[in-house]
Amino acid sequence: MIKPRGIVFIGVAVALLATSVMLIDRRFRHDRVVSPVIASPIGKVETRTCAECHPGIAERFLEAPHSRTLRRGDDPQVLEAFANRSIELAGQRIRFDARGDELWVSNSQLPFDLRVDWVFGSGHHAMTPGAIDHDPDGNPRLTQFPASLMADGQLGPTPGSGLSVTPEESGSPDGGQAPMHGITSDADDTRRCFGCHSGYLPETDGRIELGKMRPNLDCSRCHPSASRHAASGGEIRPALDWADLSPLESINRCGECHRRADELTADEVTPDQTHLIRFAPVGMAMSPCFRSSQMGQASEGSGAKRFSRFDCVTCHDPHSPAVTDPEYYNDTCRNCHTPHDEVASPADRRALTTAPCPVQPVDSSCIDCHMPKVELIPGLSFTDHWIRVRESR
Amino acid sequence: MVKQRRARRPVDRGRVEGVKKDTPRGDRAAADNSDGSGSPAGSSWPGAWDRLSGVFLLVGLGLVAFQPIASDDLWWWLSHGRQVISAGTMTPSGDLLSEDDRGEASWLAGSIPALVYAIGGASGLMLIRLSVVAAIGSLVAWLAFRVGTRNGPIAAWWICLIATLALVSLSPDLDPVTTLWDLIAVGVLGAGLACVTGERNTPAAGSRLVAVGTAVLFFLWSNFGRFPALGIGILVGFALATLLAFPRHRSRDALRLVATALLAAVVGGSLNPIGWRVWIDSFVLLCPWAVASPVVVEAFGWGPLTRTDWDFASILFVALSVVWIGLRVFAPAPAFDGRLLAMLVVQFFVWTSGSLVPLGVVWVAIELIGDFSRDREDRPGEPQEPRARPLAGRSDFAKARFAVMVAVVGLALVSTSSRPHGGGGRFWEAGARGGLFTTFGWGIDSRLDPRHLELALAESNFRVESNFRTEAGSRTVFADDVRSSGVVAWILGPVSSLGSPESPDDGSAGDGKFDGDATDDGAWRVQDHPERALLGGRLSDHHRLLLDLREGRQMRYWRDDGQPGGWWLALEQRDTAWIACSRRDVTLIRRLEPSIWKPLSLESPVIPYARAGDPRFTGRILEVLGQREAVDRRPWAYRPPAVGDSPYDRQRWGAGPRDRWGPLSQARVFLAMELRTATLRVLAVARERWPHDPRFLRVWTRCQTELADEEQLVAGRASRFRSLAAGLPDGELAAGLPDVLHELVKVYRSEGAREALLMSAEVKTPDGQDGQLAYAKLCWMMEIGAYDEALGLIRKMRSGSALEPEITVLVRHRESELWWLEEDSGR
Repeated sequence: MIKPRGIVFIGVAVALLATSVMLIDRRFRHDRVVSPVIASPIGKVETRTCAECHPGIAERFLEAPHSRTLRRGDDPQVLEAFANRSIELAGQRIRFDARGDELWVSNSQLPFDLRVDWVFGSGHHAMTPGAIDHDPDGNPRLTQFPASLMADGQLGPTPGSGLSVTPEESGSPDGGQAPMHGITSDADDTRRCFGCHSGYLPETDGRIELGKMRPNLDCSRCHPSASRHAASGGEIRPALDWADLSPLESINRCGECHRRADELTADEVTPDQTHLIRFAPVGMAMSPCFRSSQMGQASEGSGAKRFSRFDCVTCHDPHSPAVTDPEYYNDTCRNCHTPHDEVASPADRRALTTAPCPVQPVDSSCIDCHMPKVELIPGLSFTDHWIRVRESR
Repeated sequence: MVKQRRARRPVDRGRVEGVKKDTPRGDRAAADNSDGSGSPAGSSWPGAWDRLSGVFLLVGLGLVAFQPIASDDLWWWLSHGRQVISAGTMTPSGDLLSEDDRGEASWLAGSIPALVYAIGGASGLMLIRLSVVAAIGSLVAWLAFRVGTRNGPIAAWWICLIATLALVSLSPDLDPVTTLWDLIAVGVLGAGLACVTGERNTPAAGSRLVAVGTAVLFFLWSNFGRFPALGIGILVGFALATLLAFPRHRSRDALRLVATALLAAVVGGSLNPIGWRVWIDSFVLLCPWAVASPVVVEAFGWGPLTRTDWDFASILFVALSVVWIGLRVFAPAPAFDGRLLAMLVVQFFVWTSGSLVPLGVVWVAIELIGDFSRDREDRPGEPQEPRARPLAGRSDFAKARFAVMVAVVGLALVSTSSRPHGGGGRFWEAGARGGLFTTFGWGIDSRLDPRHLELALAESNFRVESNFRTEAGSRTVFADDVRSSGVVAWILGPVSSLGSPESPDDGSAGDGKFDGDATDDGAWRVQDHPERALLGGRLSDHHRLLLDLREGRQMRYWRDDGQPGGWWLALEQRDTAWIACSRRDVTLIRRLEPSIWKPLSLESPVIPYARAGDPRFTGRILEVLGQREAVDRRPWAYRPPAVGDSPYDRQRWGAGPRDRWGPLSQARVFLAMELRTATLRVLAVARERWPHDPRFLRVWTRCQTELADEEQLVAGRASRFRSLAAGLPDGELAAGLPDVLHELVKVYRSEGAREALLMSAEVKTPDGQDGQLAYAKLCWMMEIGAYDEALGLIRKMRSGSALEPEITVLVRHRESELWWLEEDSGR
């Protein structure tokens, strides 16, 4: 015989249990996986929104290399720059052809051609074309072609491709390896490549969605909480204010794309690793004057030092094209490396540990000796940011 | 309703008392059997069929008892206990983990197993398991016999069935690690509550006995187990319900008893190294979702029952709960009693954290056994009036009982895996593998075998260098799961109370002997353990690092919660010397493959990864690189691990066929390491032995897909042979051509490369398929290690008729893999 009271008690208990379990289950269902800023729709802000209050910066940014870090393969400028050009690398003739409004790459030793889907780089140093396919799990995968367009307008071997103009330089008579269209990155590396060359790279289940990507950097790429700042009409300060960062934190922020020294092993960071000149923050972090500056900044409260802040943005405005006048950079050096007798206060003179140049007069060009331009491969030069006294000089 | 109950009570009691006091055992049985239970009056109990049921249950319990120890956290708790014994510390986790400095309540959890292991090795641990099963089995047999004699065979049958099913479902949790202590504590609490409450749940025991018993129970529970807060929750639920349900004139007595029990529990439970904070820790472990992000909690298997894979224990828990509710819904007495709220507490915790299912099973099973053990008139759901006639004749009904018992318990035995994770999973998957029938034996499961890891580390010189305090300084190990951290902690050896491990230079730390005092040189430690990370508030950090490793996010990046990610710096900050990666974590293995972390072993259940360039591991890294080359590019045949006499090979007492987990996980590991030919070689042996296991075919197909992808990258499209093997659409041949290759690939798929190669020699190649078929032969030759023949075929193909362009490229690509052969022949 069923007793109503028993049913009521049991019913209430089961209902109570079910409700609480459902509420907790709902919490589990709705909890969000924390996303990388670059992939997260939270905090995105359109550049035109920023331009309402910062029109000057927004306008200058259009000219900056950061605003054109990634272009589609069918971009007319890309077609014009690459089409009908070829280069021979390690005995392989690599040729770019326009087919309709698409750019295609052929390799004389391979029976198939690939379409150029994206071109990485602003062209300030080089532009490297790449093709996208998908791995067996459906993740986009980037193949970087071994030929890039250098700043001098010539095709040259892509750094890191392992190919060179002559087979001998490539290490063996046939180029050192079986011919391939290029180096194919796995899904993780592909995500890293696009992550640094885009302003928004959404992911679904860990898979990047290139169709929804915003190519090129925009404001929120380096100012992650800009949307809140914009929504508040500028009242809320951005959570990340670059001025609040220490010099080391600052160069490390740049280093997230341009490489950080602390993400290399000790044996990778030596002067004989010539490829390091591509990674300016690494060179900066190793430079004695940066280290002194960093220490000085760190002990700023003590009043013991007189150092200017020194980091990437001391010389480079990331919103503008790089200044080409060498004197601009030399002046920055002279800010600290001034003869001591020219410093007004005796206290400052005592605190000043930066030595003036013992070899050259103060009005000579500092960067010619200490930050020379180094040609990595023909047509591709970088300024060596490892500021130091060079043995060869 | 209360009035009804009061009015009826004397009648009920008189009837029960009459049976108890006045009726001899045989007469009682006769009286019971008149109610339709199936045994005619005057017959004895148990009959032949019931005895047969008993024998069957004995076999079932034997299977449960003789399961090799397979708990993932075995080595963790053994290390934990060893630390307590050898260093005399009360903070073993804090000593063993570099990230942990908290005290802990359950400091004794591993001490008994560690002591037993030190004395008796794996056999000692098995004896604990055996003793527990034997003790519970004996108790249940005694109870069933008693109840059967008093209340009839059906009640006894129910008791046996419920207890056996519970024991079978708890098989993975009966290993002598801390979960076992929790299970015992819950069982004792449940039994204790059943004992101290008289008929209709009236508190009937003396308060002194209750106080002492409860204090002792909770003292032991908090020092050995992790969930004493569950006991407090049960007591509170019981107390509330008792107060509400009792008649007013008895509430004072009840209140006193309940208050005494609660106070004793709190005081007894607080007698541990961290005092009252045990309740916080225990509550956090019971409800991890209350303190950590649900996504993180779920990643460590602590999600709600609604979001976990259901194994047999989960199903049993729900089934028994439904029976329990049913008994109360159809109960003649009011259902609002102390047990209802206590059950509600248990149900809440289990449903919100699926990892507590074993505790839930114990509680519900004891509740039901308690119900069936009571005299008939006190049993919820039992008819009060005798039925008019028996349901069936005695023999038929007993036979039916036997049949049902065999069916249900048999199903349970095949649906339960002795392995809690990786080998367990959903209940039907365990069933497909034969459940407990396939894994019975003696010793420790092969997945917990630490010897390969020991060997890998012994062949590096990290222990020697640790004595000299190298400037590298990195001395911590990141472990990806409980098993990895346990195995590594065990191998690293005990840590002195000053925080430094003893550093045996002969690699003998893993033999379980406490050989020598802890010294102060070196400081090798595991970084963290998920449970300790949860208690210390580090679980999100731990999870983030693990996720970054699994997603290949090496460099620093920023997340939308304002925190930085990227594994490189996180591992640097933790002074990580190596990573211990579980072999089942193939995602992590795949992501580590292109990184700076290089494996120190290819076959260990826990694979150590050291950083390329670390001088302590360089020799071993190079050795393993050579092994990789050998298994993938040189003549090599896989041999499944041989059955031996070590404690890790005693599955089926060392006499049965080898566990298929070994080759399966080896194939998966090789595939994750991109050693695809080696994968196919392992699978060739495994598929020959277990041709119908779909898991091998899945790995094989995946491997073919990856090889096809590799071919596509090299030549623009995969060869026809590879496309057919991988099941890709490109593999279909143009209409009209005789499809020889298709037939050969069918043979390849079902019987392997050797058979396909033999058959290919007999078929005549149609025009237009020469190159494709020759390439298929080339691949088969290389797969079986016939490299000389492969080189000959390559030369023949190059000198022969014109090949399709992609075949030319692919042949050249395969030829580049044979550089060593030409070098050898040149010598």
